[in-house]
Formats: sequence, structure tokens, C-alpha cells
Amino acid sequence: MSYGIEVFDSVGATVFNSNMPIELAAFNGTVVGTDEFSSAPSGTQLLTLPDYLFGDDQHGYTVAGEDHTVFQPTSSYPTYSNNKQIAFDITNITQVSFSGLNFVVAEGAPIIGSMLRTTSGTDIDTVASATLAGFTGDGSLVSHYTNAYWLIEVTSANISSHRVDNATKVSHRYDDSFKTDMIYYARPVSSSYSGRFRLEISSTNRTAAIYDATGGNNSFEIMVAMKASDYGSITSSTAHQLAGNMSYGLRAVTAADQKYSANSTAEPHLTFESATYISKAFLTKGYSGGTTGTNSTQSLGSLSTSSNKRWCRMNSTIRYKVQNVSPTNFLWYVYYQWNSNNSISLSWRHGATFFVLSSTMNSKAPYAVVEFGDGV
Amino acid sequence: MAYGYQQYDSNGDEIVNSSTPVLTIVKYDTITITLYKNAAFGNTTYNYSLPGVTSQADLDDNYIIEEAGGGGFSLFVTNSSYGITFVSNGVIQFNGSGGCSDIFGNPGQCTALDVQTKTYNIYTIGETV
Repeated sequence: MSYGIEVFDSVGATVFNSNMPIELAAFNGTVVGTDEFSSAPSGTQLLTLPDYLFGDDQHGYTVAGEDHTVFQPTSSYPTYSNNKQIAFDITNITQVSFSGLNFVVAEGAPIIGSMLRTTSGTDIDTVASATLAGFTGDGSLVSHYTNAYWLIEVTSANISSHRVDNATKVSHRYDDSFKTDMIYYARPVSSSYSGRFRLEISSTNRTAAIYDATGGNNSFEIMVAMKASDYGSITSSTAHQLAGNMSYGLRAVTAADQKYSANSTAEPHLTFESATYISKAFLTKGYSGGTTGTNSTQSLGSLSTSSNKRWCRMNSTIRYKVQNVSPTNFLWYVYYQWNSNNSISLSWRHGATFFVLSSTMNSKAPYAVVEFGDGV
Repeated sequence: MAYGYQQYDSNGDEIVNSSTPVLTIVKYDTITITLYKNAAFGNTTYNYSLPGVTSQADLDDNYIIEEAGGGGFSLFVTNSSYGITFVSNGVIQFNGSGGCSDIFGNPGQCTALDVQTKTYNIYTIGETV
């Protein structure tokens, strides 16, 4: 064991090993259920997911940045109207004519939204605008640009100290390829609830909703977890530390040459942190759904009687099979059938009519009942 | 507790107690694979490194290989899931070979157009923390 935490029992057997993959809870909230057959979710039926869950703060920069030279005037100095502005050289300027009109094409401006950085890699601020300035006449001829420059304005920082003639700044575009894998768990708030429900996610609006086949007035708790390596990527917030904070407790991080999976990047990543809850699976099953047109149930196994709250792993309930019998076009889902905290199974039923071409359930998908600890 | 590991939240409620095995279900990896139906036109199989898998029964019982996204719709290729089998310790194989059909669904000769790209999510279940 080259990193992490391992705990042995009195005969030397491992009872805890932080190298084993785990899920850590990063967010929880409550949402009012949406009636499966009568409405679309809105208002309190939508739970807004915070940005930190999506890996937004892990956006790096593209490998190659673009250099910009701070403008060195040969006659008059650039005219700045505020301290967020800086002038860059125009790298190339050409003239084109089209339908008798002259156009000037200038190059060398940074991309709007890119991060302006120093050559040593220190962030300055994001580029908010880039306009041509310092030209003469109407700007329609290349000759008008002898002393012209790109007037750059950043979003909010005072960058007047960077106005050093001929200095180099680098604009870097963001690389937003990193995305976390969020695992959604849900359970009814009321201990007397009995019914079936499924999850709906809007990636565009970053919201979660629960479709409830028993009606639309039941409230549900939602817990969002993610594998430890993704959880560890959250650095913009401490809101994901649901059980405490890191001023005490344990954290295990791998060495820089470790991979989470065969395809992942070798990098240091979190494997365990005591500041939040671990998803502890009590029942697990791979299930590919039933036959469209026929209701069925599927056992997940039996649960012992416990007052600890049980949670249903909801990601796979967004999948469906299409019942292509015109004009029905029912979508068939795997719902969690919740009879009580100690009795949970899967229910194969159809939802409302919806027209799509193909099913999204072509294989087994995971379903599980978990606990997160005595307090949640 | 004479030995082991216990973890509590800030309210003093227990989160982990190593005297009770804690099982997990975790998404391990996501892979995208392109396979031909007939070896005359390209690869029909793909070997994937899945550390820890020891047998076909282990693969069936302790892993879930989930085909992601929709099945797609094409006039030219009949959508079919890949076969997934245990090869050797730590290695499983995706197999995309199979029969081909014409645009009317009748059996036909495979061509270079009979190729599918699929994405799979790989989950491990039942590992003890």
C-alpha cells in the first residue's frame, strides 16, 4: 500500500482500506414530487443543483495559449477610460474589397471569455471585450492603422500595472472537458409514504425532479454523491462537506502517478474524506427492465428492519423503453416501489405518452438501496 | 470498539464502523468502443483491462456493464448490443461481430457500413470499504 489509510483487525485482516473505490455525498436537498400523469415540474418541484457539483471549478486551460504584446506607441499613448483596459499590438492587418466596399481585417485579439495570464502562468482576468482603437479616418483603409491597437477590457480586475510596453501576455481558452459523474439518491420525506417514483434530470437547467405515480404532493429528499476522485476535485466550495469539515478528521489522497481507472489520467486524487457521508450499499442489482406493455415487479432483496434512513439510487430510472404501439407511445420506466423504509423493490410500469424513436435501456443498469449514516 | 475504524459526523452520528463491512457500488469507468460486425472491415472485438475481475461468474455478479445513451436509429446498421465476456484475470472482451441485414431488415452481406460505436459505463458492486 503506497498511500492512503488501512485499518486491520486483531488478527491482521483488513477492515478498512481507503484505496477501495467509494462514493461520497456532496449535496442534499428537498423537492416536491411531480404527478407522473398530469404535469411537468416547476417551482418547488425542481431542485436546483449547485454549480460546484458539475466540476466547473476544475476547468483548466487549453494546452496552447496565444501570446499578445503590449502595445508600444510610436506617437500618442493609448487612451484608456478605466483601469480594466490594456492595449495589444495588432499582429496582422489586411484589406479586402467586396462589392465595391473596403473592409479591413485585423488579427491578434484574444478570444472573448479567455483568461488573460502572465507568461509565468498567473491569472489576470477574463477578456470581456476587444475593440480596435487608435486608427485614423473612418478606418476603412490599412493606412489608417499605423498607430492603431487592440483595446482590451477585462471583466473586473485593475490591470493598469500590466501596461508595460512590449511585455507579453497570454490568453488561454478554457478546457471544459472535465465533468463529474453525479449519483442521485432519493427517498420520501414522510415515513408513511407508499408508492413508486423515478428521477428526472435537466442538464440544461441543472435541476432535479421526482415524478411520483401516487400524485404530486409528496416531498422527497435528494442526495447527490460522486466517486471520491470527483468529490475531491471540488475546490471552489466547502458546501460539499456535509458531515463536518477538514479542520479535523481523515483524508486520503493518492500519489501523482496513480490512476482511478485504466482510462483516467495519472494524477493525485482523493480516495477518502471523513468530512462527508459515504454511500453504503445494502442492496444492489443490475436490471434491464421488463417487457413493454406488461407490468412487472423486480425484487432487490430483503432489508433488515432499521430506523436508519434508506435511499434509492435513482440514475437508472431516467432510462426507458418505448412502447411503439400507435397512438400510445408509452415510455416504460423502472420505478422504485417504496412500501416502507424496510421494504423497497423495483416496479416496471409506463409513464405518460411521449414520442421518441429509440429506447435508452439496452442493457442492465444499476439499482441500489443505500444508507449514508445514522444521522441522514 | 476494541479495534478498527469508526467515523462520526459533526452531530455525533455514526457514519462508518469497520466492524460492519461497508459495501459499495461505484461507477468505475466510461469507455467508447467502435467495432465492425465483420472482421473483413476492421476490429470486431476489444479487450478492456478491468482490474480485479477473476471469472465470468465474478463479472456477472460483481460488475454492471451498462450501455449508455439511446440505441440509435439507422437505416443501414441493425443496432445490437456487444457481447461482453471474461477473457482472463483482469481482462474482459467486448464483441461486436454478428449478422448483417439490408435496409428492409432482411439478412444480407456485411459491408464497411456495418459498424457501431457504443459507450459503456462500468460499475463495480459489492466491494468492501
